Amino acid sequence: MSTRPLTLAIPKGRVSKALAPLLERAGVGTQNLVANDRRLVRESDDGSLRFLLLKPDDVPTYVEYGVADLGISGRDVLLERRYDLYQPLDLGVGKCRMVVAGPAGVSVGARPRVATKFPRIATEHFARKGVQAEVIYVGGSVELAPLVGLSDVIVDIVESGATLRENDLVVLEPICDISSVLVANRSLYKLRHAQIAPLVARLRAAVEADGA
Amino acid sequence: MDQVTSSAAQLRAGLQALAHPLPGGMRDLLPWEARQQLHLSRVVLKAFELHGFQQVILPAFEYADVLEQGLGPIEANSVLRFVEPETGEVVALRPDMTPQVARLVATRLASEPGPVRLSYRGSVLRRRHERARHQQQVVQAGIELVGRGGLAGDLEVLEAATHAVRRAGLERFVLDLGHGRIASSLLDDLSAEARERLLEPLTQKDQAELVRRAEKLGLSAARVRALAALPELQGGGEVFDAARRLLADTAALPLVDELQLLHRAVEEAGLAPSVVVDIGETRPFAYYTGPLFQVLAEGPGQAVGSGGRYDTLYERFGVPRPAAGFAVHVNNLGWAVGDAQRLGIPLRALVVSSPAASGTADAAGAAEVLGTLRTAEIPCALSDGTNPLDYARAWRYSHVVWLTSARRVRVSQLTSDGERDRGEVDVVELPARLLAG
Repeated sequence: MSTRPLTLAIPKGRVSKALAPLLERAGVGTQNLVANDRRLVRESDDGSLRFLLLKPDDVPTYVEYGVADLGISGRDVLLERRYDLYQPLDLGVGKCRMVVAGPAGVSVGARPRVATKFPRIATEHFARKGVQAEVIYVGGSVELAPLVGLSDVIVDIVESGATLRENDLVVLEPICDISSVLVANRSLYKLRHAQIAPLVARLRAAVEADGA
Repeated sequence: MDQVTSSAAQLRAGLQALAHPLPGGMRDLLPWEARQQLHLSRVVLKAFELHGFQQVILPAFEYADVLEQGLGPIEANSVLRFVEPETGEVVALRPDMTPQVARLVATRLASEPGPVRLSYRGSVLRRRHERARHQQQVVQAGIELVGRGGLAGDLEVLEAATHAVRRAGLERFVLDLGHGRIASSLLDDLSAEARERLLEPLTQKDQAELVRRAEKLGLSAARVRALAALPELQGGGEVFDAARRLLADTAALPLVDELQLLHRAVEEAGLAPSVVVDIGETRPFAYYTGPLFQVLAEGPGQAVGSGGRYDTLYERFGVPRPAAGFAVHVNNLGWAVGDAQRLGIPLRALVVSSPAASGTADAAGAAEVLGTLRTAEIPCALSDGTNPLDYARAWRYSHVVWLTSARRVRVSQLTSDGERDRGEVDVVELPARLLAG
C-alpha cells in the first residue's frame, strides 16, 4: 500500500539552500533539489526520496494532512500556528531570534502597540509578562511600523540585525531562539518507521557533527 | 444550451448556499455521500455487538461542568460552550463521548453487575479553528468496557477494536501501543506548570526543546537523560530492553513491564498484522492512566482509531472502577479503506405505472410491483410519470421498471453512459431479474 515514496516537504528559497549541504552530509543526493528550475516536485538523486518545494508557512500543513511524511519548518511557524506534529530533530540551521525591537531608548510601556507578522507569539509573550499589548498584524516590512507611528515596537525575527540597524531599531527583549526543525506526521512517523528512522538517524548524525 | 442552463442552475445553488451558510467545519452528506459512512458505522457497530457491547444513544450536549469532570484542562479550550437560556448554566457540545458514558454509568447503571459493555456512535465537536486540520465534526463509533481492569480488559477492548476495523475491510494496519503514565510518572514531583512545560515537547517528540526546558528547570542530569530518551524509545519489542535500562531507577519501570505484558499478549493473539511500541507517547486527553492504543493505516494521516485505559475517570464521577475503551474515527477508516472497498452501485428501482401503450396509470399493478420488490428487500419508489429516466439518474436509481400490461414489466438498467434494456418479465420474476444484475 506504500504507493507514495517517502516525501519530505522543504521550504523554497533561502532555507533550502542552507539545507542542501546538511542533506548531502546525511547521504541524500540534492542535485535535483538545488537545480535552478521551477519544478515543485523533485527527487533525491537516487530516487528514494521525494521533495515537495513549498512556501515555508505551508510545510506543516502538508505534513499534518499526511501528504508529506516529513517536513522542514522554522520554529516561528510552528509556534505561531499550533500543529499536531512530531518535531523529532532540531536541524540547527536557519538560526535566528524572535525579539521585541523598537527605536533606541524607547522602553516597552504598559500598553504598547506591537506590529508583527506573528500575532500569537507576540500576544503570548506580553501576556506572560502581564503586559496588555495591542497587537497589530502586518504582512511584511514590519520595521516600518514604529518609524511612521503605526506601533511603538515590533515583534519579529532577527538574523544578523542589519535590517534593524538600517532602520534605527534595536533589540529590546529577546523572546526565543528560532531554527529549522524536522517535523513528522504523527501517524506516518510510526507507519513508515522502518523508512523514516534511518533517515532521521543520518540527519541527526550530520547535525551533531556540525555542532561538534 | 444545456451547459448554459446547468451553469445558471449552479450559480443559483451557489447563491442559495451563500444565503444559508454552515458554521466553519460543519458539513452535511447527501444520500450517496453518506452511504460509505453509514455502511462503515454499521459494520463496526456489528463487530462490537458480536463482542457483547450494547449500543447506547447519548445527548449532543451536556452541562459543561459535568463533562469537564472527565476532561483534563488541556482540551478544555477546544470545547464549544454556550449558556442554556432557561437555567443560565453553561452547556458544552460533546468533544468526546467517553466522559458521557462515564456519567451515564455512574448515574444509571451503577448498581448493575460489572463489567459493563457499552458501544456508541455519534459526532463529537472540537474547536480548532487556528489549525491546519480544522475539521470540527468527527464521527466516532466506540466501545467502553467498565469494571474489567488490567491486561484482561485491555485485551478484550483490543480484540473488539481490531475485529471491527478488519470487518470494515482494513487489512493492512499497524497497532501502536503506548502508555499514558510512563512519561508523566517521571514528572510527578514537579509543579503543574513545570509538568506542562515538559509534556508539550514530549508530546511533539521535540528532544532539543525538551532538554532545553528540563535543564532550565534545573532537573538532574539523570532525569534529563531519561526524558530525552523517551521520544526515541519507539519501534518493535526490542525497545523494552532499552527502556528498562534507561528508566531503571524510576517510577516508570513497573509501567514499562505492564506495557510489555500487553505487547506480548497482543503479539501472541495475532490481533494486528503489525504491532509497534512507543514508550514516549503521551496524549492530549488527560484521563489516560494505562496503555494507549492506536490503529494506524496509510491514507488519512491521522489514526483510524484510538483508545486506552483510564482507571481514575470513574472515580471522578463517584463510582471508582477500572475502565478502558476504543473509538473508531469513521471518516479516517473510510479514507484508509478507500477504493479497495468501494461499495457497488446500490440496487434501487423506480417503478413507472403508466404503460406507454395505454397512457393510463395502472395503480393496482404498480402496488403489486412495489410490494413484490419490498418483500424481496429491494428499495423502490413510484415515479410520477415525468421523465422517469432523468429522475432515476438524478436520484441514483439502478433500474427503471415499466409496467407494460397486467403483471408484466420491462426493465431498464441505468449505466454510466445510458440505459440498457434488460427485457420483459412477469412481476413474480422481477426480483430475480434485478438481483441477477
